[in-house]
Amino acid sequence: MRIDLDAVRVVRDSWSVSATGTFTEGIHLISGDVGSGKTTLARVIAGLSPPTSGAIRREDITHPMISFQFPEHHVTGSTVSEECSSWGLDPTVILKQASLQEKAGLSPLRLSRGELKRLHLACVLSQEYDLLVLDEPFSSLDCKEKARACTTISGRARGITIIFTHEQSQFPRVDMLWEIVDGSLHCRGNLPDALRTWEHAPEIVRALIRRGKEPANLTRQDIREAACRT
Amino acid sequence: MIELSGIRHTILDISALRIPFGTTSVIGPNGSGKTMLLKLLAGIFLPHSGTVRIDGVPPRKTETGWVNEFPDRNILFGTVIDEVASSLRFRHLPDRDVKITVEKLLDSMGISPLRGRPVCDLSGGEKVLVALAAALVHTPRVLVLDECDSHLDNYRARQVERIVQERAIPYVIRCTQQVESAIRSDHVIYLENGRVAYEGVPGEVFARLHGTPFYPLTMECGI
Amino acid sequence: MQDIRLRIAAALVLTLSAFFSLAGAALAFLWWIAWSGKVSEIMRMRMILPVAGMLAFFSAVLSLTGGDGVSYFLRMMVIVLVGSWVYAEQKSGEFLHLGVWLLGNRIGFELGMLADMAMQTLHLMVRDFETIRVAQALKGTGTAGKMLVPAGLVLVTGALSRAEHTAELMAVRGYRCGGSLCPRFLTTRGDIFRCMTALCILIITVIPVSEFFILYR
Repeated sequence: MRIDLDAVRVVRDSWSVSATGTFTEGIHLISGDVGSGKTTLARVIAGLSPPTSGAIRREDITHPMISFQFPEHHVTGSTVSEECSSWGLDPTVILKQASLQEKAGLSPLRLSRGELKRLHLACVLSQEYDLLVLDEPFSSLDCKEKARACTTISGRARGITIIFTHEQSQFPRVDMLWEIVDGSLHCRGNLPDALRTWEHAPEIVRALIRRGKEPANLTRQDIREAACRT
Repeated sequence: MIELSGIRHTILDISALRIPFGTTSVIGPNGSGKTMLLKLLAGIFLPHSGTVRIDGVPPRKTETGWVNEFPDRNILFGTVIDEVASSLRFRHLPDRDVKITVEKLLDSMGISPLRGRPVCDLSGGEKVLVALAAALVHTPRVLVLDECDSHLDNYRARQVERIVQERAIPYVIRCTQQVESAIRSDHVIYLENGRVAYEGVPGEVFARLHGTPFYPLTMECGI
Repeated sequence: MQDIRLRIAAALVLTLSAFFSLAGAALAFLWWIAWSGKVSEIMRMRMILPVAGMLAFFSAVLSLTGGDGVSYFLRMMVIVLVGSWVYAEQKSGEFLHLGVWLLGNRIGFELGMLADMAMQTLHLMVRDFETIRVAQALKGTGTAGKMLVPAGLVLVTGALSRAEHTAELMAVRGYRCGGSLCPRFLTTRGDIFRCMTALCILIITVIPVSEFFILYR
């Protein structure tokens, strides 16, 4: 299972983004400034829009999914319960996971944006996809829900998961780190080696590296463990 | 001083709250009433009961600036100039004065290159800067920022903080999920289920939040 | 055309010409080909085909009931193309300046602001609809027809929510009634020339050719 990007380039009116690299099974984190082209690249990798030039080869990807930043774009059910069923999932299980049992009969569009995001992520992360592209999965979530989302994502055992985010405070376990800099996608490599060259590293990670306490990965636990190292 | 007294409004139940000069961060879980509190402080809503006073004056009689979370919803007009000038134009100020004030502000914020551009062509971060300029142009006494940093990368978030600090606005109330940035505030309010669970200087509030996801990782790691 | 006043004026006179007669429509079409400058962009607009389909249907009905359906279809299509050209040329903020120029700083400002906001909402809805279409296709929710109602609900809810936020923002920014604005337009010689040619088309369409040679008779 892999995706090869071969000199892929997407050109819009006032900017462009280019990408070359290979995504294999595991969790990939792509960071970049707002406006750097993350969402555009996400759509290209998910096969929703063609690149302006270059080629994308997908091997053994039969079941792809992209989660858009605004969860309401995915809503088709007239109730929260129906929305869970529309994903082919058992509403009882999902509503319990998302702590939304009392809201089963409400329209999904009446949930707060944080609740809707929670519901959407619970549905998407319960499925097995060969390719799962998450565009800003942590937006609209509070700290507690971000932590929960990170734990669930970290537990994904199969398939290619690609997370596009500018998040700085909470991360799941990541296998490969990428970032968009100056209109180009760069692969920084596996963790923890990738942390040294990661330009979008959060301040706490930089501080730990400066002190010679490189975390093994990006989860809160890893960072805590690195900080406590003597 | 901002004083809230006997507030009952939808989920909010605040018997007494005093917010001093400076930057106050409002944190808490989704659905705890943060946005509603901010809207009461901005005068967007009047509380069902209780009073809100900003130096003894109701919010609707105070100059307020407002920036909310979603860039697309922050924008009224199609061009950067029209957007930033909007509050001055709504006050029917002479066009020449409006032009001078807007140009000066865009210069001071370092976003003059954006002036002629349509807002729909801007990135999310640039839209937030434009919305911030529109909020600052009439020199507000209270600046309310509702999670506007949630769609900003670190660089832009720091840029917004710097710009706001340079303007020396008496009261800056910001709602944020970036608890690491809340450490830098003068005052922190933690809301839970519509009530003020904790409030005070950052050190005091975060000490009470130890062991929760709202406890800053930098404090946990002693950095 | 840079100047919205001249663009709207040209569109109005071309529409009248096309409506008036087939000859007028032919001249308006030639004008559109020569001056619109965005033929390929306009032809890519998705709404052109469904509108053409609808017009073809009404033209067929007209023909079957004894009217000149072909003439109707051709004239209406030219009007649609002129309208598409105006839409494609539209730039953010223009309606505000046009409104103030026409009707002043109270009513004109409000109407212009309303028009600009409506265009923004329309663009956002088109963009959102594309994303919803893709999201629902990935989810496997069935036919295009089945997805229309949920998509419509999301779009309407989104629009209402945006309207609420817009109202809040306007209130906080001190909006009461109208605003002050000195309208500005960029008028080029090319714009004036194109507008004059559109006016000539209307004159030729409305006034019979023989009237030009009245002294000859």
